[in-house]
Amino acid sequence: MSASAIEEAPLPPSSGRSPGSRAWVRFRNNRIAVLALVLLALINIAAVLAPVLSPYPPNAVSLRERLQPPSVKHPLGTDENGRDMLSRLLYGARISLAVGIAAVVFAVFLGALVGGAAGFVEGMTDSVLMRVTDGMLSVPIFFFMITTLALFGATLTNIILVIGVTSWMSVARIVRGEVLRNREMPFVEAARSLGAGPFHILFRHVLPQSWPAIIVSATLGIGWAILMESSLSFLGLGVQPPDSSWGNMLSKARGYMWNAPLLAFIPGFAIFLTVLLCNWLGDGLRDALDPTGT
Amino acid sequence: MARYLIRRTGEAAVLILVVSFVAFLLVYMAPGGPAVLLDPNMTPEDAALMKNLMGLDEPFHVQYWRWLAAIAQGDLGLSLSVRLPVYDIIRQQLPNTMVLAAASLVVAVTISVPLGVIAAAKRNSIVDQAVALLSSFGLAVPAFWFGLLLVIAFSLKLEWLPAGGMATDGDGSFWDVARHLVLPTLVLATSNMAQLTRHTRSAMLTVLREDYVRTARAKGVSETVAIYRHALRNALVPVLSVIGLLLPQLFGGAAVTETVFSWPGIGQLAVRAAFERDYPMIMGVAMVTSVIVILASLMVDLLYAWIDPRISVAGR
Repeated sequence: MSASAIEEAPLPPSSGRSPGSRAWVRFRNNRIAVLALVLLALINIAAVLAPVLSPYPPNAVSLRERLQPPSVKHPLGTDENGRDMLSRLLYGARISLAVGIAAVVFAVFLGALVGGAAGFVEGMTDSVLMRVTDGMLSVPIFFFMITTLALFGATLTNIILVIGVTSWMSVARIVRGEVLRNREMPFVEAARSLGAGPFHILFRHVLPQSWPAIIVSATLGIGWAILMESSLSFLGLGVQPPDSSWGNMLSKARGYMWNAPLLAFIPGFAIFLTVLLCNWLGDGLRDALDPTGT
Repeated sequence: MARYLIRRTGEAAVLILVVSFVAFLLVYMAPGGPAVLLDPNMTPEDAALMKNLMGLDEPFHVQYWRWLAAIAQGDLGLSLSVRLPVYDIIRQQLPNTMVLAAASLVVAVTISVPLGVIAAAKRNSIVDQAVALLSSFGLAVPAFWFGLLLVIAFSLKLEWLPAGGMATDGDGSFWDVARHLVLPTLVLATSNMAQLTRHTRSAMLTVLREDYVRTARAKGVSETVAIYRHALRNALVPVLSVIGLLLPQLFGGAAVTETVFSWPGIGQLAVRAAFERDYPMIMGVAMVTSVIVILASLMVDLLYAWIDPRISVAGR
């Protein structure tokens, strides 16, 4: 696994009894991860409360107030149509976060399905599914993403599907590994001897074992998905105006780099910060849930 | 080794075939059909005639095989927007993307490998933590935003470097192109740099725990020799395979980077074609980049197996 300074921090003595409480103690002692969790929670709350927190409707055009610098009236200034930047940023957060989370939920579902099937049904199925997984990682998939969105339309559903379909591979590998590791364990043997079918064993006995690894992968995946959505929106093949997402806000700000550099700076910084926090949280969770670092 | 070579080459061939099938299937299933059929002035009879002329009313497998046979001969069709052979346009712009991708890869490797080695050698030091922080920034920063910030700083404010394009009009000398190359290269290299640094560091840490390194140390060689003579050479082998995995991202990232800097490569070409629903062009770029990346990864894998014979014996 990739390493970071966080991962190498000395582990504090674990005092709790259950693995869960020991993981919590380790997590609590990781300052960067706790900071990331708190800030991400605040960003999510701000997104949920956007209608309450926004000083103006996000699409309220006011041509007299175009490209204004930050002021008491507009804390982050206004864009090229005189729309309030703070309001658009908050509403943009809703879309960017929702797309990121929905895409990852979909990716985890797909990954669990592929990885579970590959681990459970050995032989041909396994080797074909794993070749597909490897194959997905060895072609420039971004071109297929823009192709799909151009041909089928850049609707929110399509964006979520496209990002989900292209980011399930790490979950599939994790689940397959866990299934292979656990399938011969006594508790699976016991369930099988009691007459449990493969689906029951997969979802009730084997998958729960993989949750820590899946949660880590999903947390890192949300950052990746937000980055993907913003890249697509920046190119104009993602979230479509007048809806605001962090990526498409930046796309239009390109034309005003000289007069209003803040217009490009703010949404990009929001993306950067959110993705960074997701990655830090993911790294922290990995260290807490899986101290051996496998 | 021979068996490994044959198996990996076969896998690459199958992968190319699967990619071509997916590319064709996407276009086949797309609603509306090619842009020419979306012309609102066209009567249903004209549209049917057009479909017939373009062979779009034939069954799926017939169309697929015809397309596949054509691309196997280098015929990627006519671009719907500029009415020129897709192959010619791609061949004209591909070298620009290759220059950008190669420059980024060189920059990423020359910066990341030393950084990763130093971070591993001075594990848990302030240097290690600074490198970890920098690479987490590099992984999280959106390429287009980073690009815009660099343009604002170095092109608009400081006026040191050009904001976009590949050459100044009427110039085009080596130094002129090199100046245009600096910012896009930096942007495209950033995410790869971050990943490569992390992998180099963890590969080094793994190797430093190996018995032969402990033996070397026990023998009394200095720490520098243990790290740079004994460990580094072996740590570089897994790093090579990571470079193979970064190639798809390098080309995918080119779409965004080239758009930010108006770099006349095939990434920008694909984005423009996507807007214009220029089917043959989109499929052409997707196929050409996939084939290049798959073949390059194949070469990296074979090189890897040649350097480390354990790979071809153990399979994957």
